[in-house]
Amino acid sequence: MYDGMVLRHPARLFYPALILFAVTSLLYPQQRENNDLRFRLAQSYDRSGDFQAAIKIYKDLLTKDPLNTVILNALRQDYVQLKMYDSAMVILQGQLKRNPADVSLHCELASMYYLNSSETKAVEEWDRAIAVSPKQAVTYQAVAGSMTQNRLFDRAIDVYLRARKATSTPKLFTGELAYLYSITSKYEDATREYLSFLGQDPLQTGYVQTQIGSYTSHPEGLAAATRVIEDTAKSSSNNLPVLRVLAWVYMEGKHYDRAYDVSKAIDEKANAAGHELASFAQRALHDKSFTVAATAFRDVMDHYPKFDRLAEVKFGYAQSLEASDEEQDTLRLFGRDHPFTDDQHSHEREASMYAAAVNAYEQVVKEFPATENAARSALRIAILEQEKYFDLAAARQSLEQLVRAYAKFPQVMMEGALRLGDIDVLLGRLDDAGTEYRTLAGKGLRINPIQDRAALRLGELQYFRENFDSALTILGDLGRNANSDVANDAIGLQAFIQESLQGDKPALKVYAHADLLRRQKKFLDALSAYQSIIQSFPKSSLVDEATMSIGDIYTLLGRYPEALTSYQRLMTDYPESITLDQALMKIGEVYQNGLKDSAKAIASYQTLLEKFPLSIYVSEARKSIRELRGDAI
Amino acid sequence: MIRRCCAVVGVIMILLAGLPSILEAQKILIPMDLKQTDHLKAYGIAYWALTKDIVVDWLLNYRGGSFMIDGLDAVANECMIRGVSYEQLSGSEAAQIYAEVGAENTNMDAVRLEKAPRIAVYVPPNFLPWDDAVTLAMEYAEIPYDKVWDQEVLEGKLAQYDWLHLHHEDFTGQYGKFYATFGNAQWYVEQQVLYERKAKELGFKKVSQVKLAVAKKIKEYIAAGGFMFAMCSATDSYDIALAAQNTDICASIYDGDPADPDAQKKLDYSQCLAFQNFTIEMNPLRYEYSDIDIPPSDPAPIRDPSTDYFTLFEFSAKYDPVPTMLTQDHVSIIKGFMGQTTAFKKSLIKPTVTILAEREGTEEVKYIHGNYGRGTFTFYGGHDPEDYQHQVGSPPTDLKLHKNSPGYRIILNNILFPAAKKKQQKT
Repeated sequence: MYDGMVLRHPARLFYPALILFAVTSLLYPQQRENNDLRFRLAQSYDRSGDFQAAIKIYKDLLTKDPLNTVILNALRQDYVQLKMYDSAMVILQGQLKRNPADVSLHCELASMYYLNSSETKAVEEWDRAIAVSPKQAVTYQAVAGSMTQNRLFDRAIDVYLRARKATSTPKLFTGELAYLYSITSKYEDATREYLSFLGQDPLQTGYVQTQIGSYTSHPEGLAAATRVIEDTAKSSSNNLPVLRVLAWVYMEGKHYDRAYDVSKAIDEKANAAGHELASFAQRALHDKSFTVAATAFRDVMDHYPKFDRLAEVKFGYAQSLEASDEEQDTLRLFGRDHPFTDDQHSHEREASMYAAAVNAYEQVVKEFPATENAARSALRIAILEQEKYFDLAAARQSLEQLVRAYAKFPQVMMEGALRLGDIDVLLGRLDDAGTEYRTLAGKGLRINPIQDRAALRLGELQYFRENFDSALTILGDLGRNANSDVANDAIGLQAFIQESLQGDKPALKVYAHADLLRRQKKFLDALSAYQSIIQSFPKSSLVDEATMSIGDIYTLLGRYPEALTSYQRLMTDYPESITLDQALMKIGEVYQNGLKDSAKAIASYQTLLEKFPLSIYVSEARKSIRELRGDAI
Repeated sequence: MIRRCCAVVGVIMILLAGLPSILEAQKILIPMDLKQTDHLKAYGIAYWALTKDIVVDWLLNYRGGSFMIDGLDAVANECMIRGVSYEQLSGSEAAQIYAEVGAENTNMDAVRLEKAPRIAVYVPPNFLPWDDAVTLAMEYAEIPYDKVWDQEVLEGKLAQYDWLHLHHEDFTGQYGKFYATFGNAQWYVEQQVLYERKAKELGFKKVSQVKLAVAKKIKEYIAAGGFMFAMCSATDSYDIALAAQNTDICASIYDGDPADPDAQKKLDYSQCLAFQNFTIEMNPLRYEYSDIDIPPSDPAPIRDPSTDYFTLFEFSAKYDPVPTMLTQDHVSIIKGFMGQTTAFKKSLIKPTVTILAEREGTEEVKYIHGNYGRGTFTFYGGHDPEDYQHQVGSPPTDLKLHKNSPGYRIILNNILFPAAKKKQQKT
């Protein structure tokens, strides 16, 4: 009985338990599925911005599963979205009770305090986070990251610095610190960190230059970076990456002389056999720091006579010697000539200056005869002989050699041939010049701008030789090609010849001859020729042009009072002339640049503005007036 | 009889005595129609004359809104030197023009300009003149101006100025909503840090808060009689900042904490100067503040510049001198130009605001004007009238190439407008 009872009793309990288990087993997945669905619904509320609805569901879900971290985090984020920081903090504090060593939870709590305008409490919490694991760099990284997220950059910097001390790792977090320093305008500190980074990885010179370059566009950034790099380089003078950054920052600041010294040191220390110096010299030449460029090229040539790109270096050297920042006369008020040079000895001074350049070019030609650098050097020699030494015979000889020897470099050869024609004109060898120009210009389609220039020269030559019909044909052809650089010049001369031919052919012949003399720089002969037009053809339409040309030649000769008399005669005697605005502009220029009389220069420019408001010279006249009266424009 | 003759002679003598002063009082007319060689510098001449206490009359609707200035040699000289066309008139010719302008049957009027307005431009310290059309125009026209920023505004220094221009600032504190494109650019990051530091120095936790304080100060300045002119994003962002003063519309990437999800509902349009019922763009990565801007800037609109024009409205010079002054131009149809805020949606403009120009047949309003308190405000959509689609880093516009720009003239109308002597309106 007892046994039976005993036996019966468990059986009585077993079946309901079995049923309960079966029901629970059936219900539990259903309930879990239901919770999952509700969680997803809450998330979709979050996405749609209905945080209140989402919070309701999360809270409900937490009643059944109060320690579910995923739901807790989601709820906390929603509280933050709604700026319910106190509620978010309650969750975090609860989580922290369970996981007091969770650094990220401490950081989250600190952020909540900060967002809730309790910066002091936030800092205390961040300190607690550090206290969790004060010897671990990752702890500091988490805390500084949290501070950075809250845009507390200065505090983040402090934490990174604390990390260095605590872990006895002075180069920890260099990248992070450098960035924070740079965005908070602490450029000296930023540069120190970037240099420290470079010390850790010497191959990162380019990266470090790019990073420092992000603030060297500010003057204060450049100054700070330069100071720090200089100091670092002083204390570690054999550190090549630092020296490279130093040379770079000097060039950023356009201090090419200092950059040269550093580049030279790098070249020596790196046993670069001139390559560092040559690269520096090329950049200096490109940036128009010619003196330093020449010195650097010279160094390479002197110290590394077997340098692999020696032709390039020697050509660069010669270019650096020759180059100068000559201002371009965009108005071309006096044609191809440039008046108002400083003094009569300037030509002599120029000649001595360019001797070194010619010598350098000659070295290139001699040592590397079959190269394009040699061809270009030969051309430069001829140009210097013509323009700086006025030795036309030597220039001609150089160009003849160039044309013969360097046919395989067509661009250089064509430039040489064109100039050869120009020199023939200067020498009075007009037939030879004609041949050069004709050959260059060709007969068919002209594809190289040099061909157009040669055709224009041919037209001018026909004009000088008084073959006006032939000149008009050539010039007319050129003027039709509006895309050509010489079209305007061609049209100008064509119009002048056409107008003057109508009844003034004898005067035009004399005028063309005078122009040739002027082109040949025989100024006194040209002067007589122009004067003869006024005397022999007083009623010719060319008289005003001749008067203007006389004024120009006096200006070129530095005989300014006579030049002014001539221009003023034009104003009084030929009030109908179409060149009066130009004459007034020239009077202004003679007063301004020749006689240095600002008041009279201004008066002349003002007369130009008054009388010829539509002249092409008005903007230049206005600019000159404003410069002369000292306006801040 | 003799006595009567004497009386007549006396009257004639009195008239003749006055006549020389009229006949000899020569004038210089600076025409502003198509004969003007440099419209923009002409405004500079008018301003320059005012600085020399020379009387200037603005002849509204007369030859494109010409200026009549006392016929002094100095004025003629300055016109010549600056390249501004002018005509020398005898006293009688000038009188004839005044009579024509004043005639009841013409839509013209003469407004006397009294003094050179003192001009302030609200710009950050790292500002460059080429980045802003108004300062470009003033630099070109040689009109001097001072720069002010948050501190000066909050210290009440605006009271020293007659006219304030707002650089294309973002008054909402979202840094122009450039985050998606330039969030990692050094200039953007440095700018944000700079703004945050300045905000803290001035006692504000957030940049949006300092910008709101500045916007409110500017509103006080207008209420007290100041003239405010804004272009591009300074227009809508100004009103949005005022409307959002009771909420937070900045996402955490801009101010560290999330925007208020109910911000839209909390907007107070009554605080705005020009707009109402707009919807703010809450996506922090979208380059747009609200639906005021039309066409929206994000995605960038594709539009043919050759067909994009807006039309200036014509107002009665005698009855509505202010809008007339603001719309003086030598053409009435002007080529359009874009900006972060290109134009304003008509349906969102308050009914009290005067529409000065619009793109005909569309909802796009380009140019508006309104009163607040004793002062006025003018909003002009677009960034640079001569750079159709200005981008960050675009080269500066060279106004020497756009001396007759009708779009730039509108800006300069605004600068001279505060110089006008207030006269009683005829209605």
